[in-house]
Amino acid sequence: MAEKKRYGMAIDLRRCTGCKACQVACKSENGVPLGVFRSWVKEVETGTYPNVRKHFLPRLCNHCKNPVCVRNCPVGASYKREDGVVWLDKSKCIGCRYCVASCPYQSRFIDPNDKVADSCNFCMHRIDNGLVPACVNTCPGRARIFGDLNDPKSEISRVIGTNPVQVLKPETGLNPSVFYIGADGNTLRGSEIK
Amino acid sequence: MNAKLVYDAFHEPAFGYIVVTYFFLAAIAAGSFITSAAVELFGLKENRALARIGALVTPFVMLVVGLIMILELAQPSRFYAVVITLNPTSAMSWGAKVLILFAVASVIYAWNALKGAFQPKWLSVAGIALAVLMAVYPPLELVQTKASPLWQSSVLPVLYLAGALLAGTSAAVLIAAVGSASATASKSGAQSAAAAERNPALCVGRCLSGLLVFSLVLVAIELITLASGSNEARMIASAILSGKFATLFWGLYVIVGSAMPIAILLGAARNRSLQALAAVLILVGIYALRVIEVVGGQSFPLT
Repeated sequence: MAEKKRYGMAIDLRRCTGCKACQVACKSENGVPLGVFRSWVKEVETGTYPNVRKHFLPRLCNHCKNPVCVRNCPVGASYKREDGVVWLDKSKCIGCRYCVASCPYQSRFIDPNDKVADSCNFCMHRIDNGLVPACVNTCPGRARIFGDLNDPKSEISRVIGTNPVQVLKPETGLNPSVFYIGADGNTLRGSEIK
Repeated sequence: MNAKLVYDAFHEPAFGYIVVTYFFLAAIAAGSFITSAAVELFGLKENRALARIGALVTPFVMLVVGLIMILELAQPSRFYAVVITLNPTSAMSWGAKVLILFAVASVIYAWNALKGAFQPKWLSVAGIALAVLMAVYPPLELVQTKASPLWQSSVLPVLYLAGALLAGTSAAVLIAAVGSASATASKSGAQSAAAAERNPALCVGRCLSGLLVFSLVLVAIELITLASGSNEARMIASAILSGKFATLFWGLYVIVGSAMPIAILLGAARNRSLQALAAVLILVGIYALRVIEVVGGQSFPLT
């Protein structure tokens, strides 16, 4: 029997130019309100002139294999689909913010309009119809690769299998489905560079 | 190498001062019930008056706790869902049930105390068990997250339990002192107030001082653990010890909320007014510590 799908994303940071087209496409596709983001691009500058470089880290929900938001949701509104997409039933969400506080990736937020939790869902409405998420579709550098991690023939499996990849905060044991290629250590650091 | 953050999305902290107040009041409710029921269970006659206050205070505090819990939700009208749904892996889901059961137990207990009726032993024992759960479920909520090194601590639930006992007893001592002062003001109550002044509750000074020292030791353990942890953990430790939370920590928690009450309680253990002053200082210190734990835990970007 074929293994179930597990959707994931690989982001090749060597190809990312920090244009933020993914951030805009996400906002536009999903009607994300002002002031909150399902996907954004973190920017870090390193070095001293003239030896300087700018690093970009596109961010989104990591669609963890062991999602802490699902484990902690007091009403069972947060759930993980069979294909690995982490999402929530907005009609059940009570807006307690526990998932927001629990996520080490700061992916969840309270939608200021709907007053319920929200985050990236890999553009569920698109992938269910055979399309790729809006951020993947729009990326001019083709830095984002989306697909089935359990299909050895998929592009994402090939890319992850043949490149050194990294996930964010592997020590949490959440087992994210978003992988980064060519990540600079400074972009992965959180508080220390503030 | 120099590294400078140029842009990151702003993330509003999930838990703010309303949650801090919720944790603080839950501690008062749980602590006042535990000390009150323990006095009844162990038959400490000298502390009966204080125990009665504790029993009567708990349901009122629980009412406020429940209202805060509902109003803090982004969808307050859906609060019932957390009562009727159980996610067995969520501390918050269990906590909501504990909250309801404890509120019911505290109302029955207070009713018996008001009527001067006998408190069944099972009610005291079950109530204490629920109160302990009430005191430790908020820190377990924090422990269950994966967000902050400050919250990933096995010390936290014990610290909160000690804080609940401190807050509950302090609230009862404070109310007893206010009650005594108003009784002294009225002629009819003067005699009983004078009697109460002659026979103050036993152990209050020493018990509170002991708990304060115990809490300080736990906080020190927590800070030592943080200071020897990851970069993020060290950042939080230094923010508490010498950064933006230093005034709250050293000023309000260590000096005002711990050292001063210890000095007062050990120096003038049988003076009610000074006991009341110490109780106020303890409550201030516990609130400051809750602010540091809850707000401080979210004060740094994570990734």
